Amino acid sequence: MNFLPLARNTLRETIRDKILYVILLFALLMIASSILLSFLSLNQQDKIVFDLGLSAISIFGLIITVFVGTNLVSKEIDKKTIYLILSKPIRRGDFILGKFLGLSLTLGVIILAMAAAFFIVLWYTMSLTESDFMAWLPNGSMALVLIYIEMLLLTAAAIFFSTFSTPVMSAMFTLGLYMIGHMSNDMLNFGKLTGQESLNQVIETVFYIVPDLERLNLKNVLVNQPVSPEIFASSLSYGLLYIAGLLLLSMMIFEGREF
Amino acid sequence: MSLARLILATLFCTVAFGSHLLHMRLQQALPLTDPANDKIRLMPPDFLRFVTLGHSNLMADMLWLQLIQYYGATAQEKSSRQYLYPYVDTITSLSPDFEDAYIFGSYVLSDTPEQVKQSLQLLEKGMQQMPDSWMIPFQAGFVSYLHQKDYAKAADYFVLASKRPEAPRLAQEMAAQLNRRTNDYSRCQLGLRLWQDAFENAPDGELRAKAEKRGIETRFHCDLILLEALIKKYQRDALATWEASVAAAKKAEADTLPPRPASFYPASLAELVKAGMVSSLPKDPLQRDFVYQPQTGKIQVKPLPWPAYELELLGYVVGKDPQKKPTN
Repeated sequence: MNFLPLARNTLRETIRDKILYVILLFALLMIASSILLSFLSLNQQDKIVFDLGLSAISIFGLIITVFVGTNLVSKEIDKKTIYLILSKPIRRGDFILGKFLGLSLTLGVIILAMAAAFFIVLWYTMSLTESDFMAWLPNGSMALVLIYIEMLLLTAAAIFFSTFSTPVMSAMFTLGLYMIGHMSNDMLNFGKLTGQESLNQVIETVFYIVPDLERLNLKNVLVNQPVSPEIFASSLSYGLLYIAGLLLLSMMIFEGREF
Repeated sequence: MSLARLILATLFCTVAFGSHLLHMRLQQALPLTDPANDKIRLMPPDFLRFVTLGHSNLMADMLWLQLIQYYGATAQEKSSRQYLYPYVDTITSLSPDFEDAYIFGSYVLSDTPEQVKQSLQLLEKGMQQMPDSWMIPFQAGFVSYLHQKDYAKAADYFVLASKRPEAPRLAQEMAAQLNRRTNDYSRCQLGLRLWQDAFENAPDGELRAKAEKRGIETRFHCDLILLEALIKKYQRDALATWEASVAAAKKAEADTLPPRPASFYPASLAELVKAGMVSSLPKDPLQRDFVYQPQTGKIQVKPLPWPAYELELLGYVVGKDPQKKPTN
């Protein structure tokens, strides 16, 4: 449990970051702007607010993850504070866990704030269209939980990349992982279309190595219908297991790193 | 102000003015508000889904907003809606559960006779993507009924709609009525079965009474279709018999040819029984005979105790003008 003070400290440190508030402000503005757009939508107010709200939360969550997550480890190394930390009775693995947990808590707070704004806007729109807000609440909540898990996975990836590369490269790797993670299913199909067995096998291998982020992206389905608890639980477990794997890898690399 | 700052300010003004001029020129050269640019926005759906990185619903929403603008602009300018189908096709590919996009798209497309086929194509896609939606086959039924006048196809769509969850009773009623309208005996019988089903499953007395009345009318209609078909067959047979006798007389070089009868229609409906075409003549529920006009071969029914909309409109009720719409 040595990582808990580090997590608390990371939370305190990241929550003080002014860029976080600027991003949050933009996210809130975008969620609120869905009200304006919904008026132009010809009876699709609820759908527009649902889609735009969840996408805004996901996109701004990604921006925070990439900008903050990739700097977490390198900042300590650049400022040489890592020596101070590691001179205490803290294992290197605890350092990674602490950083991850700290940013996860920050992300949790940010996503909660965005979710509150999203649900207020959704409730307001639904009161205008006389739709049943309570019927949409479970679907919206499920989508938000999965968005949070996706952000945690990307945080773990950002930390993993920053254990062996510079912040800029880590940010690029994380963004690349996000893109491939969402495109991997299509790439698998493209591979099948080529009809080349060897290429197909390479793509299939990549498909199973990179995270399949579409498994955590059920918002497109949840806007119209609920998903079964089995699918939701499986998606959640998949995300959590992948996070655990990335953190373990990060710890392994960080253990062997020399400063 | 120092000279250096003055130079910088002048340079800034020059650059700002230059970029503004360039922007104006670009606006003229490539006006992005031109409806022709709809083609630019409409990239292949698979590509759009690929590049939206999991935000395909959001992209579909943005295209939906654009579609509304496009529809408004074409309606105002009364110009062609050539991109309407690509728009709704792309939207529904990005967001396959976007039920209103199928309905709105088909509604607007079927407005133009050349696009009715695309309208049904879109609804067929919707039926595949949303197998639980009753609204999509219901709309397809209306498109086939109103714009294609294909009653059999429309009836099939309404039957499909009636089997889907939460379908309104109207779907089954439309299917029953349209099956009647096809003037095909077996389809009419199908309509009769649908009315019987509606009667048995009616939730209240009023709907049961309505289903019973429509069922009686449908049975009438089926009998009328059957009798009309038999009269036509009788007429064809009589004509063939006469033509054969004329041919035989010509071959035998007879002095006189058999005279052409005034009518080939049966003199009475009893002739059909006599010819073995039907075992007995159907009667109406009030045990009255059908009204038959031997000169024209037309069959009618005596008025029912309630206004029988379809029968009256089709001119089957004695003394009712089919051109006049029944009041009830």
